[in-house]
Amino acid sequence: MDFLNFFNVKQLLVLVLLELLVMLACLLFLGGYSRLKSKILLREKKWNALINETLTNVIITGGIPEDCEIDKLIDNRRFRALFLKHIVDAQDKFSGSASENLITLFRRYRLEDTVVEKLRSNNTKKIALALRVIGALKLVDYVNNVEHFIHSKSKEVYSEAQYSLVALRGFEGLDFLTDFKEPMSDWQQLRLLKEVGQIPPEYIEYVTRWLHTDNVYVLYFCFRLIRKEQLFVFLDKVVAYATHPDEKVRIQVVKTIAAFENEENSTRLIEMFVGNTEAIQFEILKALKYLRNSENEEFFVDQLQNNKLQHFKVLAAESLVGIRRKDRLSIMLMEGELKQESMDVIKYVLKESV
Amino acid sequence: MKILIAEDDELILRTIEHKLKKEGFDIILTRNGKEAIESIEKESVDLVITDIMMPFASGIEILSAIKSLNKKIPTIVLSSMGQEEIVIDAFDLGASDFMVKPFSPNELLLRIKRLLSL
Repeated sequence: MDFLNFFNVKQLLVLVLLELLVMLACLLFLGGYSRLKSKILLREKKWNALINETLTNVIITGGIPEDCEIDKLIDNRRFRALFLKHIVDAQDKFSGSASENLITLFRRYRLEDTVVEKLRSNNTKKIALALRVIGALKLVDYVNNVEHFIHSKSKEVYSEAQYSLVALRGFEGLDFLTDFKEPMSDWQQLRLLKEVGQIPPEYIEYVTRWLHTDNVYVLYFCFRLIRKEQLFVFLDKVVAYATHPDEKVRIQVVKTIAAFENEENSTRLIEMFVGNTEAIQFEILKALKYLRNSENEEFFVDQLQNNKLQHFKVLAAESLVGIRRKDRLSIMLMEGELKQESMDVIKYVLKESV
Repeated sequence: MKILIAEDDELILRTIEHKLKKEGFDIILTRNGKEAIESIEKESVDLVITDIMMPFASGIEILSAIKSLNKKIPTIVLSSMGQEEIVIDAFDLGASDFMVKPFSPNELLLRIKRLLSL
């Protein structure tokens, strides 16, 4: 029995020792990892500050100093990747000579090599960044490389390929919309719109084709394009979508009608208002507010008096202020014949409009 | 002349600061709407440049604050694409001008000089 006990104690001691060793190893690992992480974060903070300072100087003066700190770091892979990302982000913020200076900086440090390397990798994030750089910095030599990625299975990759193609080719780069079947975020649509540039003479054929799509996201984009470029020739086609089953399409129809200055748009919008969903009605009222057409006065008064929803009443009252009919609101308040909610709304809007 | 910049993007903030200091302007830097409003309340500012979307208080709230303080300060709003309705609201609150990003620092300077009649 003593002999057995002795063995058990020994085993127990060994187990305890092993456990202590494992714990020590974990602590050492965690400690080391933590120190390494802090070091990396500190280094990145330093790099970010250096890059921001350099970019600020380059954007304003166009000059890159000789023997710049960046010259010493540029061969570091991580630094190059960070530097590249900063330059591309900066391109989204600045235009004109500032933008040209950034492209000069990009070429000075031969960052195309990094772009090509990322494009050839198997990593979708790297490919997407490379495509974004090509578009943002207008690297036209790489346009054929971009086309290959337009049908990628990765959303990140094909979105950046779309952006790049439009950035490099303008309106013609939108050709992918003809067969495009996937969702497209509002942000992506705005990015593409920003890069469209000049509208070519044959635009009617393209936009007409895209308006026949089954993909509602392509429809949203078309309406945005029609608004932005004031493609008045499509207004009647747009109005035809006023009863489309997709609510967001109808919202885009409202915005597009409102974007064209003509005598009929208030009438069209008020016609759409009747019997439509609350969301559409609110968009229409917003659009009418911004149109500031004094002929809509009675419509606004009716909404203020009779619409049960407070946010509609507020918008209607603000619309009356917008068409310089504050006096009408004051009279309505003095007469005191409205329901209390409407009176409260008028008081609020009059106070805010001082 | 003193210009207040309200912008949470560090590169834009520093670039505008650098550009305007070169032209001899005194600059107040703020990185969010709350800081900007506090500075406008305390100091005498000749012009404000503000982003629309910022932490704690937006550019629209800065404009409302300027209005409620009865200060006549020309304001330039920096917006992103797709913020057209917010820009219209900004003009209703007294904004003097707006620029859409990406913007040219040179053009911003021209607009500042025009607003300050320089």
